[in-house]
Amino acid sequence: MSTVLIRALFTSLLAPAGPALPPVVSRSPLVFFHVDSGGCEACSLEVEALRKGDYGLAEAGIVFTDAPRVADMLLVTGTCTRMMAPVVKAAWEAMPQPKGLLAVGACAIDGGPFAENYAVLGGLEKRASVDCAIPGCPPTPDAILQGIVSLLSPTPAPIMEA
Amino acid sequence: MSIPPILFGGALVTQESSRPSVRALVRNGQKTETAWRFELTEDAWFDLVECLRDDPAVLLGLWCDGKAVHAFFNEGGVPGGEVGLRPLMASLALEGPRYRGFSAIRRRAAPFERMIRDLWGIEAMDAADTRPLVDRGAWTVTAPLAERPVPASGMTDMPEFSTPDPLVAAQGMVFSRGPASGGTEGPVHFRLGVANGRVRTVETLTGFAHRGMEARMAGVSLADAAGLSGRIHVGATLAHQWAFSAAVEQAVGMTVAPMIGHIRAMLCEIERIYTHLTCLARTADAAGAEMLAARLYKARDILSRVCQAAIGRRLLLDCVAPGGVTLAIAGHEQLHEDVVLEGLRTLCEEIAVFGTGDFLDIQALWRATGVVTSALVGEGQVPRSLADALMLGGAVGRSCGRGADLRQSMEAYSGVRIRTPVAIEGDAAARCRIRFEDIAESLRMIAAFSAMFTAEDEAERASFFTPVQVPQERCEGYAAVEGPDGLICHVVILQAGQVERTFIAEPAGVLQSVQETALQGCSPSKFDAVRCSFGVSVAAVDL
Ligand code: SF4
Repeated sequence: MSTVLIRALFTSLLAPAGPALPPVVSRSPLVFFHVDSGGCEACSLEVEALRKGDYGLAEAGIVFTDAPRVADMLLVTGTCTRMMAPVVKAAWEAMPQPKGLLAVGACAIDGGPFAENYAVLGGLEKRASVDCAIPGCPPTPDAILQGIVSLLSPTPAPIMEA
Repeated sequence: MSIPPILFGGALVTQESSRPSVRALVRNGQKTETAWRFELTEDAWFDLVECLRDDPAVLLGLWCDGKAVHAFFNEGGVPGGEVGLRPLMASLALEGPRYRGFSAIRRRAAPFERMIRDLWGIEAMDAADTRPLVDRGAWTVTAPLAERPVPASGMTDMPEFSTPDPLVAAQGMVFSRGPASGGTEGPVHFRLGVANGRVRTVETLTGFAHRGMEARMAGVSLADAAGLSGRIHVGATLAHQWAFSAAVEQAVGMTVAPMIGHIRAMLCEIERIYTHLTCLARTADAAGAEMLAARLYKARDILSRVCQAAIGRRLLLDCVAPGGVTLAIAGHEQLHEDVVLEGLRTLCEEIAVFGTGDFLDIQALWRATGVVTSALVGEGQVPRSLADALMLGGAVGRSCGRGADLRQSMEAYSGVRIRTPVAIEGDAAARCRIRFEDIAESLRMIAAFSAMFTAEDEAERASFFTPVQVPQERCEGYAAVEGPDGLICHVVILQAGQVERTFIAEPAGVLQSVQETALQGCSPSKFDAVRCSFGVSVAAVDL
């Protein structure tokens, strides 16, 4: 994936009929729902550092919620275990349109060190259209923030380096 | 008033213990090529289980490899003090899908027995806890590590939850939380039965984070296994890397330079500070002390930034490997020992600044924050008897008066005074206080290590990393490290130039069951704060 795609943006721009939905990127604040779908917890710890630390998220119009039904973006960390797959799917389905998917860390992208096995499905890359992938094992909070900010910018940004 | 013994026939009959010790029983078994491992017959295994009723030996781990179950003990009690680890491993060749379990006598064994059942389909007879630990019917197969795994039916034969408590059923409510709550607890599900304003029952559904660490760390290269050892869970990544690496070094008979030991120990103390700060931040946040939580989160983040700048590792992943330490100093392509030492000295200096400034302010703020005190004092009490029965260590064990600390006997800590903080209250407030005191002790130790990193001795400048050649013939090694939440232990088997198998013992499994018990009786509004004070990682429970 060479560019960051905003599926929701395209949906709203290209949909020929129906009520015009505001693109995800124009919403303020942009609401994230975070799911850790099974990793070593380093990526979720870095997301937590970003949420709770001095990174100015609120000022940038980024908030996190406890309820997927009010979220614009699903932020996934960790490889997708078979037990978590229906949970991730349910969270995604509970989110209103338009919505986007953010994969943070090697696990969430392609399974990283936790590729498919009896208990694990692997990363999201092959199973869903990921709008923003932030590589790293784990990526730093700065890299995650950069990825999120790229979603907010109207021009597609190149994929982030950890 | 003491009553003198009544003498029959003029002779005092003393009760001679006819039972042999665990040590004697295990060592009576068939010798193996590993000096500390013995193969037992089924009868001897039964005797061993019975013998544990009144022997101080501690069960450190219980694992299976499909052909045998292996019980790993420390002779004479919890390792620590002057003595350190005195390992003894008993192996029982399996003749069927059952073996006599330990959990009825040693409750520590329960998470291991549950894991063996889920992964191998081998059941512990007489088990104290027969609930699944990680297999909830979502896997492709049951008993995935068995020689012939069975395709999964999609349902487990165990009830997902036990029937509700009568009082909860009559006049209470059941609340569920997770496995995707948007919070910080990770993928785990809690079900709370609440009645009369108190949590009466707590059930924890684990397994959502199971990645199959045991399978992934079997039949792989040393480098791959070392990388995975740091990804068991981030809260003890360094401790696991160290335990794995030291076990490999022990297996191949390699001794690393003292300086490498000191670097590992220093990094392990940084990890302790990290993990305690994270746990305290989550606890404060859950108690509603947002400003305090923000200070704690910020402190942890600053330390991570300092680590990133000084040694190129923000969260201490990939720092230790068999044969040494693998630090990358930002801006230096060549990993030169002098540069590493300089980076470590800078790191120690920066941490000292935190210790004399921010840390003291945060500690004072914690004491002065009423909402934290009222949420934690007297809540989530762990009785001393339970702590003793489970031989708890870490902050939870120490807050119940248990002071065993493996660091006291570890070579890597030689030259550094170890003072292990202990409290007796056993509640959530005491656990948090111990974490603060632990941080203070770690800061003191880091300052002591800092002085060692200035050594100009040429002998100390031995390479910080010497690759380990894994032999073709089978060899086994063990190591234990005092992690942030208790003893972490690895047993590795090397063969044919690779890691044949890795057995991991993590304190999280036992802590999770203690947490379940201790949270009963707490007020629902305090549940999260009290839960956070245990600092249980689901990735570590599920493996
Ligand atoms: S990507 Fe790496 S750091 Fe992140 S959860 Fe997975 S293993 Fe851990």
